[in-house]
Amino acid sequence: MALIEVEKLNKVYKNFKRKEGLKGALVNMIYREYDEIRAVDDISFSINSGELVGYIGPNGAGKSTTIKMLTGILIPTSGRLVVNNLIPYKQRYEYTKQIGVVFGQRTQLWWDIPVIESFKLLRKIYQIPKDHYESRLSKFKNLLDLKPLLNIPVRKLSLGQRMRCDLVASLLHNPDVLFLDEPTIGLDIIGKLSIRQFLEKINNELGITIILTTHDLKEIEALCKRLITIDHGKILYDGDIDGLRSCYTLNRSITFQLIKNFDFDNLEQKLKFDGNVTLERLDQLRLKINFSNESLNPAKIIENVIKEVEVHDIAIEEPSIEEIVGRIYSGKKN
Amino acid sequence: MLRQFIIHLDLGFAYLSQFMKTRMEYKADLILGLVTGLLFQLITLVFIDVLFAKQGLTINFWTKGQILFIYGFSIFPLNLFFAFFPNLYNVGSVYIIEGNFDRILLRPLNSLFQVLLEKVDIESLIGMLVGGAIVCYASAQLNLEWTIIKVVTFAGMVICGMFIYGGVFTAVASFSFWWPDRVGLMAPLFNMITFGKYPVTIYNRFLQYILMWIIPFAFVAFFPSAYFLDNVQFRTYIALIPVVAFCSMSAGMIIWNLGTRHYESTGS
Ligand SMILES: Nc1ncnc2c1ncn2[C@@H]1O[C@H](COP(=O)(O)OP(=O)(O)OP(=O)(O)O)[C@@H](O)[C@H]1O
Ligand SMILES: [Mg+2]
Repeated sequence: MALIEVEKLNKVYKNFKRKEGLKGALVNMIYREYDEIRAVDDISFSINSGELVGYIGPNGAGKSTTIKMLTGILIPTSGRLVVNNLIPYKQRYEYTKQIGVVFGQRTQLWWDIPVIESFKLLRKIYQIPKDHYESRLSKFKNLLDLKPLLNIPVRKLSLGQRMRCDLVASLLHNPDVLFLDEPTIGLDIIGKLSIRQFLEKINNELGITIILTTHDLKEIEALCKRLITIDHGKILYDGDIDGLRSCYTLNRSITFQLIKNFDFDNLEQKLKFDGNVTLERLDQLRLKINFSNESLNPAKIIENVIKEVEVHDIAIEEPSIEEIVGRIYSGKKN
Repeated sequence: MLRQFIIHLDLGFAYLSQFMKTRMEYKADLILGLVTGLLFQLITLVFIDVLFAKQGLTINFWTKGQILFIYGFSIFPLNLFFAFFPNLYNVGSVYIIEGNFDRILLRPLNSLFQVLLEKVDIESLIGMLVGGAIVCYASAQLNLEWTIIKVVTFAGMVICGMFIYGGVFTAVASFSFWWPDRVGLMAPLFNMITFGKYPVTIYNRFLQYILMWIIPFAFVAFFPSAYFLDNVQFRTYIALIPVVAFCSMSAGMIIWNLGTRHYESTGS
């Protein structure tokens, strides 16, 4: 059985419609009207133990809402949600001991207390045996270079420093699942990289299942095998990243650097491909061939071109993951 | 169940010691808080004395000594409540509207317990010195005899009183889960506290009923004092004090738990 099972999950927020003016205020006191926002709309997926899943979507897509339901903060409006045989919001005490949560926007630590004291409180809260606590802390401390931060109150840490501390705090009680909502928001390249490597490591070595939301697609590409995209509360894609590429009609291109000046019209006549292929002359020595991944494979094109002309260099351009995801977000298939 | 209780108790002390440590960092702040707290209480005391000097000896068959005793007693549960429940005031704004309740729900601990422990107002305890002074003075005037049993009962009743306030205000704070933008109930209820500082018999029947069975502030100071003043007339009510405290806190916790199911977090 899967570790996380989500079936036809919905979350509807009710936003109170405020009427203006004095009369409106009086009406408000007696009778309230609500706007309904369906933030998560009938989504289903399941995640196995040990997976590292990227959960992406544009602003307001419903990512944080999903994470909050998965972590038991919000109660679903309807649908089934089971993690590790527990229902998050119902069996809160038991459940929260099995998960770690980091919200990039907000710290879980106590604002005024030095980091190490926060950790000690967490040890008590989660009833972590002392030897487990110490071995885990020393391991994470080294991995994320936490030593110089431990005696500083949380409010004095920089964003990146705080995030590292939050990450360690979420792992001290040895959770099975780690939920991360934009854990690298606002971090610099080095900060992002160190968190990325850390996540990879704990996923590989400790087998912790990780669900991560982010707007940084490079991160997803580097880290996650599986990707779930959501928009307007609905899941648009769920699968691996390579699958995503083949799933969409994408424009690719090959640029040939030729040795001699070439006769473009003549070449266009000779090179006849099936499907949607266009030739383009960039300058005297460069020829660009645009095609879509559905019609042809690059090898075929290269084979044909080098039969006709002498080639010095070849560059194949892949569509970026940004381009693909942008396509998904804007709802276009082509 | 017991295990949970012990875990919570242990954590209570851990939180408190952490809290005291951070408070110590701002020593001047803490001392200033203590001094102003004491000063405030002394001013009230002078005020009471002036009031009674003018008003003569009795109000509605209650002597000045008795009324002073009730007043002095009432300071204990109130300050204990101020010390350990101040965060109830922030539930609507800090925890619900700002979404800090997320963090609370992510820990394997009782949510009300966590909220209460995140802010403690130790300075308020100093006010009890004044309460003690008034009670001693009144006792001397009334020739009351104190025994160990009475002192223990006193402490027990003070704690009961704190829980009566605690329960009522927990319930009120919980309403923020349903209506986060409306904080109006807290202030009027706060004024109700004053009614509990005087004998309930001086109020009309309607108010008496409210103070005894709806918002049971009469059980905070008046009925406990009646015990020490040897007033046999209220024996039944005196016996009910722990029951009322238990029911009040339980009701508060039940409403709190119902409220948490309405928590909607924030958009960012
Ligand atoms: N507490 C709330 N009350 C009312 N509406 C909310 C609340 N939280 C989120 N929403 C609404 O639900 C929708 C989804 O929000 P959510 O925070 O889940 O998006 P998101 O995918 O995390 O976006 P972002 O990338 O900007 O963080 C939005 O339209 C938002 O306005
Ligand atoms: Mg979000």
